[in-house]
Amino acid sequence: MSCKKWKKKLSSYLDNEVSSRERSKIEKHLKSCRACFNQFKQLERVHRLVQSIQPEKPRPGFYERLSERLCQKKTTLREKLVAWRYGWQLSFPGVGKIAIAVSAVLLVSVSFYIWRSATSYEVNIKVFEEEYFRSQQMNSFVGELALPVFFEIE
Amino acid sequence: MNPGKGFQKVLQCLFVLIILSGGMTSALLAIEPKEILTRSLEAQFGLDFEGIKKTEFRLPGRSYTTTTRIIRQEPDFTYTTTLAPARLKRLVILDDGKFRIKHIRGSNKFGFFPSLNSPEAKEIKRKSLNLIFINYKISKLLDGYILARPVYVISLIPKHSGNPRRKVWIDKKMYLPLKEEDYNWRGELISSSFYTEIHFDKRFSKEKFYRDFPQRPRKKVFSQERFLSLKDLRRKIRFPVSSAHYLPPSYEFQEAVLFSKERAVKLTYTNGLGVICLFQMPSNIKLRGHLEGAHPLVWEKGGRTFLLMADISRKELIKIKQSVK
Repeated sequence: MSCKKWKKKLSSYLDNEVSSRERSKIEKHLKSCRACFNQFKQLERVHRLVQSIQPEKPRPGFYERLSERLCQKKTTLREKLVAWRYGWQLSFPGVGKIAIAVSAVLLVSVSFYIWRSATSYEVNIKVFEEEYFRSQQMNSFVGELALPVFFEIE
Repeated sequence: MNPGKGFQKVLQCLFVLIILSGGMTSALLAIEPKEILTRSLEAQFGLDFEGIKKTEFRLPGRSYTTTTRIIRQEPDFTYTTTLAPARLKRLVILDDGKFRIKHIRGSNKFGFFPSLNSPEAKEIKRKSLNLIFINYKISKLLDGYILARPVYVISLIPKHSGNPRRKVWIDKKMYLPLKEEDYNWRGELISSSFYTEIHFDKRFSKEKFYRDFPQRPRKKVFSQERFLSLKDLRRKIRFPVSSAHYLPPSYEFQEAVLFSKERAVKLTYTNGLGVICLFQMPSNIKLRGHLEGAHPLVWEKGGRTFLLMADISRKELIKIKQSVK
């Protein structure tokens, strides 16, 4: 086994997370390999230092606050859509959905109708004169009548 | 008895007989004015010709003249260009039996209207002619000549006074009206039109006339619909349609038309020659501009604007207005 692989196992060795067989193998290699031994010593020093640090106790009520904040976590857009879809399905099953869709269409139509009625258009009165003339032409048995000259051509 | 005198008497009798038989033959062969008008209507749908027509419109205190070149190809094609006055020179009207397209040459402006050459239009013209036979006194005046062609001169006088009348000069051979004079209800001449040139049996390739016209499907831009009954119209539109309950004697309902992007309705009544048009539209449609040729009655009632146009007396117009329900 190469040194690289032994070095990887050093941390587990310090934490007593290796089998007894492996432990003896590692100890045997450390005796024979100077580089790995040095690495082990460094690691051991860090390990000892970390263990000497006294863990600070959380302030009272920390876990309760944390759990509360996790519940209030912001939902993503995708989560919102999924929630809306499930909510729609749960709230308006079957006929309810159709009724809402029909109401929406009706609302849009009525709004359009009101808008159309309220909007005023301008029509040139000559359009009616031309229509009158067209009726005369339709009635006339003398074929093509010329358009009166006072007609707007635009 | 003197044999010479007897021979003279025989000759006299023979002469009288010849005159009488000639008169009777010509009377038998002479065409009735009604028949002339009927033939004239049929001829207009069965002739190929090119002509130049001058029309004079007489308005109070003013008169205008237009000159148009008319090309007709049987059975249903007409191409009209205005030659004068200058401001109408670009105006072209093409009627192919399906649509009547008004176009200003050199622009993208096109107006689409129902054809006046369609079988439906012909039927309406035929109905109007039948109404003329009922409501007008038709008489044949002394024959004359127009463009060195012999013509029948037919006069149409209304049986009920207060209606327009017409005088028409019809070609004896081709039965095409070569001249018309229209008189208003007062008997004043309001328009006169006559051909200054006419060439029969001229055929053209129709394709060249379509050069200026749009190739896109015309149904999409065709904004006007023509109906023959009020029932059809009422099914089609969103606002209630009123009709005139009083009409001057001899007038009857002819057709209902929806126009101006289906926002306005036109009801037409006729006595064959005279036309009464009752227009109506929702009041949110405002009218602008002014008229030179006609003096309509305009009023508002029940959220709708009404316009009444006709060549009849003001008194009759008001009577019709009051009967609109």
